[in-house]
Amino acid sequence: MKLYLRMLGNSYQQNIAYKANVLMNLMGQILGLFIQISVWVALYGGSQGVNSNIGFVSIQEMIYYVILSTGISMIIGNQVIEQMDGKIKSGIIAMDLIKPMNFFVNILCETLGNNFFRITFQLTPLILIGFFIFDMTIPSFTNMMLFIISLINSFILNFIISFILGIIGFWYLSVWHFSRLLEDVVRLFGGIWIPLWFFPKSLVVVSSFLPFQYIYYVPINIYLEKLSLNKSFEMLTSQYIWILLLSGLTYVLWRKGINSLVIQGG
Amino acid sequence: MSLISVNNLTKQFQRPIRQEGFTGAVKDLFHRQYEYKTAVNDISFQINQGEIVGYLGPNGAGKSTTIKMMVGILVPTAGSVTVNELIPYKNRKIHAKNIGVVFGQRTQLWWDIPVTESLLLMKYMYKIPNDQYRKNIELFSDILDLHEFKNTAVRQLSLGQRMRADLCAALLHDPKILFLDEPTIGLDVVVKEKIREFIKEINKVRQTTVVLTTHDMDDVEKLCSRVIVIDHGQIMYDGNISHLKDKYGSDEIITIEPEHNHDLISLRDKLLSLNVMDTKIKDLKLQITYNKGDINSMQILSKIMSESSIIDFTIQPCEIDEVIRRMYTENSLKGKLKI
Amino acid sequence: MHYIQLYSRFILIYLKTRLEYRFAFFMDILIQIITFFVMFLGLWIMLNHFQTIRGWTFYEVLFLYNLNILSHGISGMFFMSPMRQLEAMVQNGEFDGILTRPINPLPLLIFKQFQHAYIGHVLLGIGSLILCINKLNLELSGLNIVMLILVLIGATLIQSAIMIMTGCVSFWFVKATSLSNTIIYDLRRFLNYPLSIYNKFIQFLLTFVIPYGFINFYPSLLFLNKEGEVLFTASFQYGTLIVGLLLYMLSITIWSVAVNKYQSTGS
Repeated sequence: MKLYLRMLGNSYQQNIAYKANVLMNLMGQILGLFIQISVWVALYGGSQGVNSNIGFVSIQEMIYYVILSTGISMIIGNQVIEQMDGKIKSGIIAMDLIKPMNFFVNILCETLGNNFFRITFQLTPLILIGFFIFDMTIPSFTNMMLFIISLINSFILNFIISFILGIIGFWYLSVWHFSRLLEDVVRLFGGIWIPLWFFPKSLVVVSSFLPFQYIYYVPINIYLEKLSLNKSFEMLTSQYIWILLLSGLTYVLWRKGINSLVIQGG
Repeated sequence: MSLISVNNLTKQFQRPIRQEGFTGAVKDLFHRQYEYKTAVNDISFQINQGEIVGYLGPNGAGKSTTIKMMVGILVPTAGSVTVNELIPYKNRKIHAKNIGVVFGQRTQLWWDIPVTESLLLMKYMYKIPNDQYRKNIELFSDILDLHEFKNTAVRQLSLGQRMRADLCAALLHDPKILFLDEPTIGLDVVVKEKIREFIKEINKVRQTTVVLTTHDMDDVEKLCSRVIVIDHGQIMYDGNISHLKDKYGSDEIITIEPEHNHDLISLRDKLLSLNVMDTKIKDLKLQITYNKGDINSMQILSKIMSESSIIDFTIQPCEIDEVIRRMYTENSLKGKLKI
Repeated sequence: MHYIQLYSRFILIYLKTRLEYRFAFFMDILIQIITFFVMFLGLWIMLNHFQTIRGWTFYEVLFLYNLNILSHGISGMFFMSPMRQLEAMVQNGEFDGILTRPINPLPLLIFKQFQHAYIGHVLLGIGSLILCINKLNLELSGLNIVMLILVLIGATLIQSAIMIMTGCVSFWFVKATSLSNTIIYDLRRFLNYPLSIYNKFIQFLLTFVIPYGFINFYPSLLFLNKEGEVLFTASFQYGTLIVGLLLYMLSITIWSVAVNKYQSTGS
């Protein structure tokens, strides 16, 4: 445990070395936020609210949605696919497998280190912007708790999905294809960019069969109190089911990947 | 008229001095201070067609700066370089057709493209006529054994293979002069030998002038008819190797293995009467260092043979890197004395 | 002429080599197409629900988007890889080798790399541009076609010029290109929507400082007859080619200053 904490700390500190990068990243995020808010304000075109799949949505709520989605991406984002790709291509993975620690936890710690870093240096400014410039409010205590739980689930879900695509690197050379694909699919069906509120019925159905909406859309809706308590629990349950299913898949693929590594000798 | 003419060449670099801390950074922003470093200081030499010249010196002596000015990458601060009657940096593109360049471990070829195709692109780039190209490819492939990897992408080649491919590419357009920066660094003995053979061959057949920098003294001994030694931006020596050795390195070492170990010490004592510089016992062998001007090897050997029987002996001439090392220390001593 | 000949030979050999790994080659292109398609679908979802964004319909926004993606794709094929790698080349001395060839350094860098993934951008850009023209019932007179081609040339020049200028940064500063890249690429995201939805500061910035607006927003006003959207002056609608040429000339000047600087300082 101590070892893992230490690794977490290391990757946190490595980030500090790239101060300028962090600043630029933050600027990029804030520019993105600014673009999204401008877009929604223009789409609303002066009206205070519009109808959607879940009823009336005010421009205020829409702006909160954009801020929340940016914030969540800072909390749960990861570079797992790139990390694993690097380790597999360079053969470092063989070294990592010999070490007396779990590879999965190893990657998880590095990710957590990165994410804590982003939380301190990127999320904090974002929260300040949200609360002081856009007058964001905190939801009820129950919803706040549910939000935090669902956010943790989102992190795990996103991590597992990335890990699965990372495993594909054992067999496939250009892994960036998959990381890009995931990015695109999550951007759309995860509701990062456009809430599922505004999706046509057919696309809502499609996305209900996919795990992606549980990553962004669900926690945001809980925060904005758009879901009833029952519905919220239902969504949390779905998150757990997806986590379970995908963990199983991860295990199977991981075994196969390791075997292929042993057979080919890296 | 010499092919390469370097006259009073000087290159100074200007480097900003960074001040420490935040206030320092702000100061830098408004008032930058510079320090000047003279990499090449008023050097002159001429190189004629057909010479193979070793350009030697320790790291940071100004070797690559000089080469870069001869190649046309750098503009001199003062003095002049003329190569084949052109000023390299002013006539960069025409000049480029007269020279071939291989820079150490960095390939000039297309990373993703197989060697043959890469060479073909060189043909188009230098507008090499068909028959010249065919003839050269045939000749070079034979000497350099390019056949074994000609269809491999450059990024998949080993260092030695890449070096051979780069050499071939640099010579396809029949340049008058070949500049080589550390051509054998990191290569195994067989490849080194092959590359040296190739350079010699090209020099002989084509009368190609070769200027090379190296840290490998075998390269120098086996290839160079002449060496130029540079240190602290100034030329320390310019001439042939044997003369360099006579001047700085007329010491030789004889190593003897006597039949009976107990002879070692008595032998050593007996040799003290001769005019040798040093005797040492190491690994049951006797090492005798002497100056060729004082005594020759036959005199020493006959003395030893008269005293005891020996199994084996070797005579080790002074190595060129040792010679240069001595030159440096002598130079730096002089420098210190001046102060 | 020699350059064109040389380049066409390089391209043929490059594509031939790449096509030996056919699957990877097509995947590279396909992934770009998917990204584009997601953008397409997203825009459609938005405008299906909201009808217009500040009066711009789905196909109008798509037209706008296409001009951006198409010009970016074309200049990206040639300039993206060399300019991304320039920083490393200057630092590890590989750029020295570039200066020993009988060809100018900028064309030579372009001859060394080709970014085939952008073929996807270009193909889809053209395809969906035709779709937009069709759906928007734009008149395809000879004049309009010539105008469109000139606009695309201008837009490509703007994109290329900005790529070249960001590359040049590495001749002066160490590790600065990643920073300038971030600024440039994040700013380019503004182009996905009409410039008129942003505040005056952004409009000014993207018109006079980094003239991205001329890539798609201003020429779109002309083709889509959006008199109501005019920013600053209506004559900007005709400005793309001029801005492109000027900016490209500026970038080439900066480039040669940068190479001269490299030749005198060696770093």
